[in-house]
Amino acid sequence: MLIQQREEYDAIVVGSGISGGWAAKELTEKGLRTLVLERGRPVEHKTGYVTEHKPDYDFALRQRRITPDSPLAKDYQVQARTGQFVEAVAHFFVKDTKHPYIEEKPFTWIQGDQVGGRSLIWGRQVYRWSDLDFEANMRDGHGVDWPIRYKDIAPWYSYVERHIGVSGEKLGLPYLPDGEFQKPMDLNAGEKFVKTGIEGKYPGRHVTIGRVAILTEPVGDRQPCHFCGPCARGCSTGSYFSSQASTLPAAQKTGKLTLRPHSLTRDIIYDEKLNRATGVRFVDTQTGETHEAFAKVIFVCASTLGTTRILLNSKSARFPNGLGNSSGVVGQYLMDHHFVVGARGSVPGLLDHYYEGNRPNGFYIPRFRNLAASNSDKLKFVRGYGYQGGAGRSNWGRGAGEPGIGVELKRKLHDPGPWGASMTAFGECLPRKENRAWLDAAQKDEWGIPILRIDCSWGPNELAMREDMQMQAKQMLEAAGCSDVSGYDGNKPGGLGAEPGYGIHEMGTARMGRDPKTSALNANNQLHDAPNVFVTDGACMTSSSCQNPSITYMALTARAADFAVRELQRRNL
Amino acid sequence: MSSDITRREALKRAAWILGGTVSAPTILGVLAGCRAERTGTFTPRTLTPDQRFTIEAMSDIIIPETDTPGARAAGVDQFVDRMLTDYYPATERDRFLSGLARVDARAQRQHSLPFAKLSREQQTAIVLDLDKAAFTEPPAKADRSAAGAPKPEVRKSDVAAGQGAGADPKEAAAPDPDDIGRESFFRRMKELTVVGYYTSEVGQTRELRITPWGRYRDIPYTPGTPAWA
Repeated sequence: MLIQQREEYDAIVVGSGISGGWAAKELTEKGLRTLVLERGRPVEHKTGYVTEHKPDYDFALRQRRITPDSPLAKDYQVQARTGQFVEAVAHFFVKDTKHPYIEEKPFTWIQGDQVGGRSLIWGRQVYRWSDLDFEANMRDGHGVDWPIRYKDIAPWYSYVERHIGVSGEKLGLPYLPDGEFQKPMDLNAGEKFVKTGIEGKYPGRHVTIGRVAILTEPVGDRQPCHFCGPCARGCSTGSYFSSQASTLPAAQKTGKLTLRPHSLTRDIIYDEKLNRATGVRFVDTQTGETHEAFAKVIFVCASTLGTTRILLNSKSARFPNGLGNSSGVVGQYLMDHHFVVGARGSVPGLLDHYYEGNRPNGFYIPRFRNLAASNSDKLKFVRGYGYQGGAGRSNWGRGAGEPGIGVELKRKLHDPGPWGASMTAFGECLPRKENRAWLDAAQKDEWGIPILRIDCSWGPNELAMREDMQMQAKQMLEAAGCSDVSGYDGNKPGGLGAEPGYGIHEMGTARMGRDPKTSALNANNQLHDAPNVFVTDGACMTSSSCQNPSITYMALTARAADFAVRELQRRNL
Repeated sequence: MSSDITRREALKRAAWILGGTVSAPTILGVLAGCRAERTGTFTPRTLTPDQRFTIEAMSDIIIPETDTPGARAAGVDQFVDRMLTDYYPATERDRFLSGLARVDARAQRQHSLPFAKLSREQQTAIVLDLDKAAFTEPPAKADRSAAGAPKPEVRKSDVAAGQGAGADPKEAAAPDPDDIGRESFFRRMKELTVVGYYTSEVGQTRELRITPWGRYRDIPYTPGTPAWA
């Protein structure tokens, strides 16, 4: 049933996650009356964080990871694949039974289903990309050239960093540009040992504390991190960036924001007479009623695959293959970072060292392969990877895996165990046409919207890179002086372990480009087909770099919003 | 009744008022005393009373009382029942319960009593045996007969009869193949005991300690100081 009531706004933003929240903030602060549609339930800042600061012993299952074979995962068969799906944060993940999709090959789509989206549960690691990334496609011919360069986005990185608050160490590396950093968090004794060893043996390689969107100094009324540990439960001091802590309150303050939860966007309305997109159609998931809302500009920030689904489902006589899809690329060139490959080892000694507090961060080893250009090292692969890792003393958990019982066991577990270090690589993934998502011809969700079918797998470049990712991790830990070093690679071709999607950095299905024939979006994130429709979430990415992508989504969103408002003022939209 | 809520409220208020000068865990430690132990009467949802007593006794051999309470006082039996009822798939639960039955069958064979009724020394001897087998490499399947393990069918009938088939010490000493190695019943039992104990309030606040919040930094360490929970 369609509610006949014309709702008009200046702007509509689909999604309230990392990108949608930024679009809402920027558009409202520039004076636009903005409707934000969020398919999930409301989660209030502070009061919505129902498990925050709850000790482990107050959880029925003491904070176990919920795996797919558990009866508790019945409705979460995909979400339960990630180690982040633990008892304390399961309520911030989508029910797969409610939002299904079809996997041609294993592809893990981790989704949020609430106001704030995955900004509540994200990894918070933020790294600027550089021209090594923005020029990569042009240099090696994979994918199409980015229509922007570092200089186009650099001021927007700064703008975003100042608002969200990023702590980290400046390194002065051209391929990992420094940002507006608050004071860095500390490495612990084990990590300093690894750092000294690796940097001593490998000139040009760096071990630094992770650059994170977690405060070490106040920003407005957001407080510095108090090191309680599990960020993903929500943070009532607003110490890490989430839409709730950062962008939505800013938007709210303008009085121009209408935030509508339980509102699932079905498609974008294209008016053939006016020859423009005029609004969106959405389902109120509580009443089942379909609504329409209209606006001058539309920002689609529904997450890479959510956005893809909306664009493909926005069919009209003018755009029978979906809005923005005249080129046919929408849904194609799906990428994710490939990871779960690296090494671990024992750190000798340091038994008179320990640490205090729960630091939600680890160390980072920036890319060191192919730094001059995407294949400058003449390896078996192009592009590169970085590592995230950490060191620590083992805890009581070691007791389950070693022989011994009774007083002796208890005495042993009373003290912290030996130091260990581990690191996992995050590798760049090439944009390949055959990695794609499209609407299934028959299957629909409970609101009658066709669901996605996804076909994605790692190619020869990713697989060759993984061998190097594991070998270098092992060699570096050994060179640093670790013992019992072992490598690992979770990838099981055709199976689960390190499958695409598992990195939760999916991107690329409505890429930016210079040519409307080979891309969906231009340099300002406007659909070539419909210039008043902007896509600024992960779908817009032309290549994947090896650095965590979220801050680039934020910067592109702020940049696109600024452009959109100026174009509106010039009456170009 | 509302001690949980009161405690948390008090904690929250204290943390805000004191601006972090008194660490939250310290407050937790103080307030922990206000809370009733969760052991004692509970109605298992999966375990029979006998199974529950076996688990309680075994867990307390694995993590005994010392100057701090052990697994029994920490209510590990309740944790195990909850995990078996809500967490594990049925196949895993059944595998665990049949492992548990083998423990009682073994107690019956050796001492003609269920495990829970044995003396602490007798229980400890059995648990030591199980631990040893659980951390032994399992023989390859073809070699299982060579390992001298009795056929599982015999064991099953023992269990069904609820009593021992005699006190042949040789048979009693030879572990069931399902009690050897990484996949053994005892590995799971030990894991549940360790997790159940060290994530309990007793384990986290009395045996170990919860790290103070407020900052992250290197600290010197002296052996004998409890690890962070």
